[in-house]
Amino acid sequence: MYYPYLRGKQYELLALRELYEKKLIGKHVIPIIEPVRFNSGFVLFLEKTKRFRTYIITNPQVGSFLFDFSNLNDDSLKERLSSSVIGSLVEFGQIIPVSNQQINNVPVWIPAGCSDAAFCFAESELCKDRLETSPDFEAFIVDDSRSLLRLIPENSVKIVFKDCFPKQKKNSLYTNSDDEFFSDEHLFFKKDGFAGFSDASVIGMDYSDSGYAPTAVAIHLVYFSQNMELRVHHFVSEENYERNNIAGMFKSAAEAIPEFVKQNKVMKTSGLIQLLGKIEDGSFPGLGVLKKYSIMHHLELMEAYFAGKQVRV
Amino acid sequence: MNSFSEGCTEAKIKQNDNMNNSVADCSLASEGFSSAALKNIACQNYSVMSSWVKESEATFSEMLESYQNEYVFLNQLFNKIVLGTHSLNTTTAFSQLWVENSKADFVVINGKAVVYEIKTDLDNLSRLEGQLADYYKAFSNVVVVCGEKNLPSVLRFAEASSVGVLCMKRKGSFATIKPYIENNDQLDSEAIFRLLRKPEYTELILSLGEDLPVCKEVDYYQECKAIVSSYPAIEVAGKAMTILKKRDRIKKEGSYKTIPYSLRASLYFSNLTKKERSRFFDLAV
Repeated sequence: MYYPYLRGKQYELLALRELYEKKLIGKHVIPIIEPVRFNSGFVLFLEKTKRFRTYIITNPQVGSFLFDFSNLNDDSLKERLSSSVIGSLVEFGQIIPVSNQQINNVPVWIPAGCSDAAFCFAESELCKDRLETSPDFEAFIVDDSRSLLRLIPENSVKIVFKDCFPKQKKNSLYTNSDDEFFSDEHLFFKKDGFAGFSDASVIGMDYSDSGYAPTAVAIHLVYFSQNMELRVHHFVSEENYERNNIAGMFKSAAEAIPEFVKQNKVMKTSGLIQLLGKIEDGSFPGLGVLKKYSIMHHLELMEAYFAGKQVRV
Repeated sequence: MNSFSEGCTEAKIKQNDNMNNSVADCSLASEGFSSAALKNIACQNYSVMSSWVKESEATFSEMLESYQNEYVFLNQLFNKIVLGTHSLNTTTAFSQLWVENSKADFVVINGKAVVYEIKTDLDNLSRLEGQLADYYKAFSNVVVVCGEKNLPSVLRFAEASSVGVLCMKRKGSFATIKPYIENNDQLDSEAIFRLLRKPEYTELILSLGEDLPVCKEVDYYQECKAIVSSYPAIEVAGKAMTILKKRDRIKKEGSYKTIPYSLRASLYFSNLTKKERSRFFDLAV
């Protein structure tokens, strides 16, 4: 089982929704969402995906979700939240925070009767002390560290987490190594005694609230190599594009994708097909939608892999 | 996060900016005037906002007396030029506007468009020459605004050129040391084109009397630029300024003269939503 960890930004939620609706994930790929905003987009996501398994974190550590919730005067949104969650396949869990400070004052935003003990997420060894005192979870998603793993009760579900995305500070820096190892966890997690594995897909765990116009466009494509490792290829626009010409940057970045897909036998997922369509038309989908395509492609590829489909064509 | 100085700290952590640390306290204070700080305070209740604003007024007065950093200059310019000499009905102002490879500190467009480059007494002048060269590619009028300490060196710079010099005195009043002279010699159609966003350069093409290019979306920018660059820069500049003047309409709503003095530039140039902005205007009434 693969548990992609996503932050619930607008295009991440849209990617998941489309994947669910087209039944391209849900059996072997179960997303974990750390929601960063409480708004109608998030509630709509829950309404549309009731019938699909999703893990949601109740105490997000980044973004303004809890703040938004506490300051919301719109009761109808809260009612919609309750009715979308009750009877759904959503399960709630918690992040084990790194410092004590962050434990206090988390508002209870899930409907009465819902529990958030379905799973816990501990990304750092610094969580050790707090994990030790709160072992009542069904599933544990933890960093691959001995000091964390030995705290997990024997009969509970163990999922190993690793942020596989080789994040760079600036898009132009991806040209330094444009084709990199991503993960081989899908080959080994069972042998290592885990029920599943988790990573931060092609987004990475670093979180930033602000976006500003980039000086280069980068498109990240995950694919299986011949030996069935997952690799990630970064398609980056050439240097010296003018700041306003984002569509031109996209053209430059995307140029090499069709040939790469052919050469490397990359499975044509729904996300990839949409991307190739845009490239052929010469239309520019926007940076958010590009991210959506990349996530969709990666997650659908994993579902196909576990379903025994041919992921190299 | 209820007090002004705490807000500053919060904003500092959030932005992780590398501000001038030599006067740590004051650089901290100036970040109270950041967009992030205003955003944080805009969602508090009115009594929290009021006491925060009081603190901000006191901090600004102190800064005006003893620590004239870039925000002090910007807020003084905004108050004196945009709200004083002109009015928001006829004027649009920008801060941190990219012009080629430089960011213009303060740009005012009413009848004319003028770029103001701020050089506080805490700044050095090493980048000034390149900045002025960049500004003259897109704008005809450029002024350097400096403190009294930097004045002699700025004057030496500006002496034999069309650059104007404005000096901010101790208490925040301005003296025109040298008026600016209109200079169209360096104007460059492509540099002006690069100031504009997609709907804006689309409007520019139409206002030049041209048809929009029929092409793929990814080539649209290049095609538009090619059309614009075939026109004389002075004509492009005139039309582009009219279009630029219409940018950021939402910022003009509300009466800035009714809100606390220290926050006017900060609120105007911030990226706050309409709703968040209205909290400050409501507070003032």
